[in-house]
Amino acid sequence: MKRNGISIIEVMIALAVTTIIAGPLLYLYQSGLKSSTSGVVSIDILSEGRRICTQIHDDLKNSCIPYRGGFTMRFSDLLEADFSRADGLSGAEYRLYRHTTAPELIKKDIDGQKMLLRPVMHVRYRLEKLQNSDLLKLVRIESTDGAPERIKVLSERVSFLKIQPVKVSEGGEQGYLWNVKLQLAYVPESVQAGFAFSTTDRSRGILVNDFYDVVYSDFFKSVSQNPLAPRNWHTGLTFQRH
Amino acid sequence: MPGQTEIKKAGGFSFTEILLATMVLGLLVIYVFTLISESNRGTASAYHQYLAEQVAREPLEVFRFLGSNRVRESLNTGIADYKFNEWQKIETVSAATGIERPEDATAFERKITVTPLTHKNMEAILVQVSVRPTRGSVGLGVGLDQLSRSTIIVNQR
Repeated sequence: MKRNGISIIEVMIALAVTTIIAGPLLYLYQSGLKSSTSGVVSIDILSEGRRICTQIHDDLKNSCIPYRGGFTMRFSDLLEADFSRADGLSGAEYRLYRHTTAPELIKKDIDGQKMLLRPVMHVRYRLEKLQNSDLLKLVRIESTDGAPERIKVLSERVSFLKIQPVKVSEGGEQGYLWNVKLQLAYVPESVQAGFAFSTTDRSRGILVNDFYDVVYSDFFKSVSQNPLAPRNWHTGLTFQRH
Repeated sequence: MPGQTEIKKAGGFSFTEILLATMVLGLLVIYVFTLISESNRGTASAYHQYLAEQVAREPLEVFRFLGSNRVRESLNTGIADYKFNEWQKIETVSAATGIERPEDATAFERKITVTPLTHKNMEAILVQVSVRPTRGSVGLGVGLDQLSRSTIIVNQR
């Protein structure tokens, strides 16, 4: 009597065929998933980097030196780089004053003189250490007179940030601009600890994007290229009462 | 019926069917791999487009800073290491200004053209910057051979 059902040989052959087909399919699925993740992260890093660079560009472009009655000013006074409490880059801070975008003037008494001043905002960029990661957190802290500080985390994957002055000499004259260099990275948890990364390694899921920018201060350009202009024309005007 | 032979049709797939199925599966796998590789290329070219744009914006910012007059005076000599009317390779560090650029920016070359403009009492310059990938390097994406940015800088009296 012939028995109905599947023999062990048939089951084994079916399993072997399934394994042969499923192996490449699984590989395909995994590489597709990895590629999709890396694509999303890559676009995310790119837009984050662009956003940070645009913000830094805007802050540096509008940077100024608050009027305190003095007439001397140097380019290096516009941006203060503080590495005194830094361990590597962690703890480093860049500080500057900038004009606000509001087109209003505020009345102020300085040394008995009544002034009409353009409001000035203090901005700090601080790099902070992250737990269980070699990457850094970049925080922007904005403060204006009498208003609470506005703190914004710009990124949690900064591996490098440098803002340095560069000199352009032309026709015996020289001027200064800033050169901004930023590096953002994505390192999967599996390769995080103590891993030194410098370039993108897609096979390990590591993505590194470098950003750069060149920017000058509108205020400093006006003052340095027009030596006869009053030093306070941009930040404040004398308030005259008649 | 007695005397007649019963022909039993064998179950299962024929060789042609298996061959066809394998071909379809193979084509599908090739298509998915192409899709993945295109996606990777797309994200990489988005980054390179950003870099090319920054490489183009850099001289525009420097020339805006210097002003129309100073650029006009240097039309024959160039400014710092910005040469005019010729394709120039991008270095990671500019020898004349010290501007530092990412390593990936060296995959591009740049051409700066400055045209003096005059209208009544007004003097200005038109600065056009084109950026293209160097031979053998990564491209800017499908259908994009080079990227151009321009600005007009008016002389402030």
